[in-house]
Amino acid sequence: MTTRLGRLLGLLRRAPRPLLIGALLLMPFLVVAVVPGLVAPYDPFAIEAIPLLGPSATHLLGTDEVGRDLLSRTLYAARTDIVVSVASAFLAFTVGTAFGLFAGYTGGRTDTVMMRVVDVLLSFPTIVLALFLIVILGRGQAVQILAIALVMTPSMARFSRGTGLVLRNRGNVEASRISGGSRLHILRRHILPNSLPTLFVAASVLASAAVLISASLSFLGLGAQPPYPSWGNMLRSAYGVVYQAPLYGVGPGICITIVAGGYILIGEGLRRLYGTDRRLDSSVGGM
Amino acid sequence: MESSDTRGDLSRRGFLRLSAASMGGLVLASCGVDGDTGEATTTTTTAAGGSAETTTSTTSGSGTAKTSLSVGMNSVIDGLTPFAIQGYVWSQMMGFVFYDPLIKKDISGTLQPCIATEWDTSDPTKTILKIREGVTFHDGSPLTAQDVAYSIAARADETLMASTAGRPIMTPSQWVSAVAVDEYTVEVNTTERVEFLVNPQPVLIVPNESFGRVNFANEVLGTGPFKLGRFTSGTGLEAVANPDYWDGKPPIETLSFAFFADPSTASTGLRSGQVDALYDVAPGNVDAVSDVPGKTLETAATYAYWWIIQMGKEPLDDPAVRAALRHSFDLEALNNASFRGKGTHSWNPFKLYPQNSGIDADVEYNPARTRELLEELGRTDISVPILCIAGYDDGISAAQVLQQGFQEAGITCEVEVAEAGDWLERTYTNGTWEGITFNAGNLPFPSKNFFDYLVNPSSILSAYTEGDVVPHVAELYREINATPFDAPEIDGLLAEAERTIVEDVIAYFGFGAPVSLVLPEDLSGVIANGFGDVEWHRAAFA
Amino acid sequence: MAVAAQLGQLLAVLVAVSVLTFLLLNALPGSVVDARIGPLPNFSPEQRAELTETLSRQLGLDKPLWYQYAVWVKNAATGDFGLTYQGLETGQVIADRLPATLQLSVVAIVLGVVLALAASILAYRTRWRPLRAAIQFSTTVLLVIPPFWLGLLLVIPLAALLNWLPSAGYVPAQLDPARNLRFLILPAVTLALPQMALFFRYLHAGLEDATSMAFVTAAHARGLSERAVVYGHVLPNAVLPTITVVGLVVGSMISGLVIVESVFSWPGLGLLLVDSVRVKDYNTVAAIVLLTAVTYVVVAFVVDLLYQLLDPRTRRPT
Repeated sequence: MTTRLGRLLGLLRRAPRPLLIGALLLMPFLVVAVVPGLVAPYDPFAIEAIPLLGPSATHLLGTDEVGRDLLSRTLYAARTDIVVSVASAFLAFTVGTAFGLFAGYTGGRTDTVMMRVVDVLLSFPTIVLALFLIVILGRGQAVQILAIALVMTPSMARFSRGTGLVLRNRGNVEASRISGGSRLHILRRHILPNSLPTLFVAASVLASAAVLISASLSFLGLGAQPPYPSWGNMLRSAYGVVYQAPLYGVGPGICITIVAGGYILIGEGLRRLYGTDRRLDSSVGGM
Repeated sequence: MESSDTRGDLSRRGFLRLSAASMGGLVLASCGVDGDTGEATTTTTTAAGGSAETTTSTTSGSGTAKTSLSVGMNSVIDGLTPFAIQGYVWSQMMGFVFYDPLIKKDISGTLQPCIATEWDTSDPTKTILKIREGVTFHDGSPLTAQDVAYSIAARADETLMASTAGRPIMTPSQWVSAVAVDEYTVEVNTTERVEFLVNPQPVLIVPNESFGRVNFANEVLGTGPFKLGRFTSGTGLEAVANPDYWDGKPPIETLSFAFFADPSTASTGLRSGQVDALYDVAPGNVDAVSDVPGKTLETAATYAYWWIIQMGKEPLDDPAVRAALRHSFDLEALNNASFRGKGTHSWNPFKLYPQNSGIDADVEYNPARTRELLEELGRTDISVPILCIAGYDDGISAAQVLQQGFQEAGITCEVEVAEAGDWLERTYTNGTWEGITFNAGNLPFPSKNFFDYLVNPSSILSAYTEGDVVPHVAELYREINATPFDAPEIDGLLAEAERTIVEDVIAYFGFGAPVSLVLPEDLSGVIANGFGDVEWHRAAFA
Repeated sequence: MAVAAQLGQLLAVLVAVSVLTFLLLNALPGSVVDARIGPLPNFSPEQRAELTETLSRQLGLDKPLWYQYAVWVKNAATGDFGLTYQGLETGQVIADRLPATLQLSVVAIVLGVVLALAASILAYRTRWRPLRAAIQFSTTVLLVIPPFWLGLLLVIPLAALLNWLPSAGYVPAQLDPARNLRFLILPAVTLALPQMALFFRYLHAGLEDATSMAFVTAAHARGLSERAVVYGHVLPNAVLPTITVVGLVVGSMISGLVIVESVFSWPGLGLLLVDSVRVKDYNTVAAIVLLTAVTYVVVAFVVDLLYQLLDPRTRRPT
């Protein structure tokens, strides 16, 4: 037991600082997202007091425009926002990686065509494309996830394609190719495992971008619908009452920053851990 | 089906919470007209006339006094088409700035001559209009009966209206013709009686054969008191006094309107000095503008919202279920959430008016009671979704309060927010929604106009295109519609309507609260009196 | 020759972008005609169908898709994007909104670049570590603050509490330049700060890289002053890679504008896009999407050319 603990501590000590800080920042939100009821002082949907009270001992962040506890709503919103960001980042990661590695590994004309498609998609600014998709598909959480994933997929594809291109000429890959390994086999057994460290760094950047895009869509009223709270739609309400309740939006705002920043830190930590290069941030996500 | 014509419009009048009456008031007062043109003798009209004189004396007395006024609006106008479907705000309100209607309703709901100086509706299928002489369009060309006949015919042409984002005033089956009998007489023939003179949307007068020639979306060619100065879609417009207006040049040289996406931005516009005045300030926003120096706040109208019930579908087709649900309305929380506690509630929509008979349902908030009643009815497993309109934050807040109450009573309840167009389509055109749906509006003065607004089977009482869902209500509506407003039997019909709404639970009505108008101090009272009978509003909310 | 090839590629991407926009426009639920007609409670289904058919024919919707695309592109090239649901010319509406958007974008980008230059030089030259750390930290945080939260952080003190600046609104510059500026400050700063943070990262990295380069060491060895080295040698080299980023930001400016214009009710293209999405004004949405995508592609192309022109290393041998 002690040795195991000791080994864990040793691991923690050796882990890059950004990774630790990022994990520490994100951990509470993950817990809250799974079991918000444990922490939230009130039912986030119940009307507890008169609307737009300022912060007080009974309502630490005050109450919203309906009279619900703002702290509880902020905590419950973590569920919405974390789910949307993780789900859409995961989707974009999976699809983008598959697309990109395949293109990069295959090379030639296939690669050129696939990358031109990516280029075209990349010429639509993120939010604009997401808005367009929401007009087509309608509103709702599933659509929100899909739209965010779709707008992030091209940059993920482009990034992972670069990785595939590099690994393609590595010795073990060539050896496998010479010994008659199928394309799928090589992609699965050699390319994917070798590129994972780099791709994980990309994934954390994706998750951070997803938090921001999802909050933006909610802010524009195209994400989570009432009565369900999300940080974005809470900030939207905050603008409407900024003269009556100036502090309304502070809680959700801080949460967005911490979560988006936490993901970035984890990415930075992973990068140091694996020693990958810095090209990434600007190429993936990006509001 | 004779009532069908008004359906869409009444709904729009409802949800866009702007009343033609109020804006008419502003124009009246700022133009200094109407006091001598109307034969009306009601006290309110006199008040408007009196205040108009005050304006005139203020402006002429000090020579170069207030010559411009900028007004902040809570909604964005994207196009100037004088009869647009979605540009309802425009056609009902701002249209009067640039265009003249055939006849106007004054503050008491009495008809006043405008372009038509006389109208004869004694024959149900033939309306004869006498046209005012000496009126010119903004381009200087004189108005004739031919222009009026064309304006009416164009508004009845469904295809033309559809292709110009307009809205027809009657159905093809009702329409026969509009003919210029001589230079100043128009004869309108219909197959049955159609109230097209003022209701649902006024016919605004445009020149003969002007469609296709004039792009009404961003041009103005009317006979109204103001000419178009500048229009930037989505931002604002500027109106310039028409020196040749048939009723005298308006005293205000430039009248500009700034469009704000929502009420809180509008308050900011006033605070920052972007606008001099604010139109239509909801109770929740009064605090945000009440302390702006140099401005006064006047009560202008009553804003109210209510819930239309889907009586054509399960489970709300059952009056007992509808009545049971009343116990799940947390009235205090509703008032707090949508009106910052400044509203009043009644199950009787007439309660806010002095003429009401006092009938009301005495229901306390007690979801357990709803549950009990539903159990007695054997309806424990019901679902009542709520449909709201995007942008109506008071309604969205209220819906969430209701949702809480319903859920505590064991009722499944989803809140959905639809864009205005969707909402309209689902609620009125197709009737495809379930449960209850939000509707709201600025209630005008007590008049027949107000009355059919509430009693019309398609506005407050039910919302179906097909069939009379609640036959005795539809019957009542028709009877009221066929009765002149000043006939003695109208009082009895009003009382019956009140009783029907309250006892049969025809709608969940609702909260009302005063809507204010923010004005520069030097215009206080001058314009505000034109906005309605302030006194009874004060009495209602004292 | 190389430029010609690049131009060819640019054209191909532009065509692909327009095809995609057109296809997406056609994938929209409910037809353009339905949106145009709106609810007609008085119409029987047959009457409605007849009207729909008439209008479809008028709008050319009965033609094959490729033909519709050709017409759409031909019209779009002349600025004709059809009518808004209100019956206004979409091109005109967009032109009306353009000045507000351009003013905000230009001011924000200039502000972003100037602030980033100032911050990076300060961070580079200062010997006081806490200041460097503070600059580094705040620019990093700015990258993960969404614009609407940043805007609120500015609005709470400056507008809500102190009432120094209006929290939202717009006055056209030609009407009242002074008031226009007051309204401009908050949205411009909100838009500029995250851009500044992004530019800073590149400038900062560029400055660090350049320091270790031989020519800088040589300049120092020649006895040039620190100031002369920084402004004459280090900075020009650090600015070069930043140009690409500035270009990318300009090209995708609309993403920030959508949010910032909504926050501050600034009636530009961003706000128009959001409003059009809400009311499903398809023609306007498609026009703005196409416009922004084309802007992006063209700006990226120009930046690429500029970069080749400025950096001798990327110039191809002739």
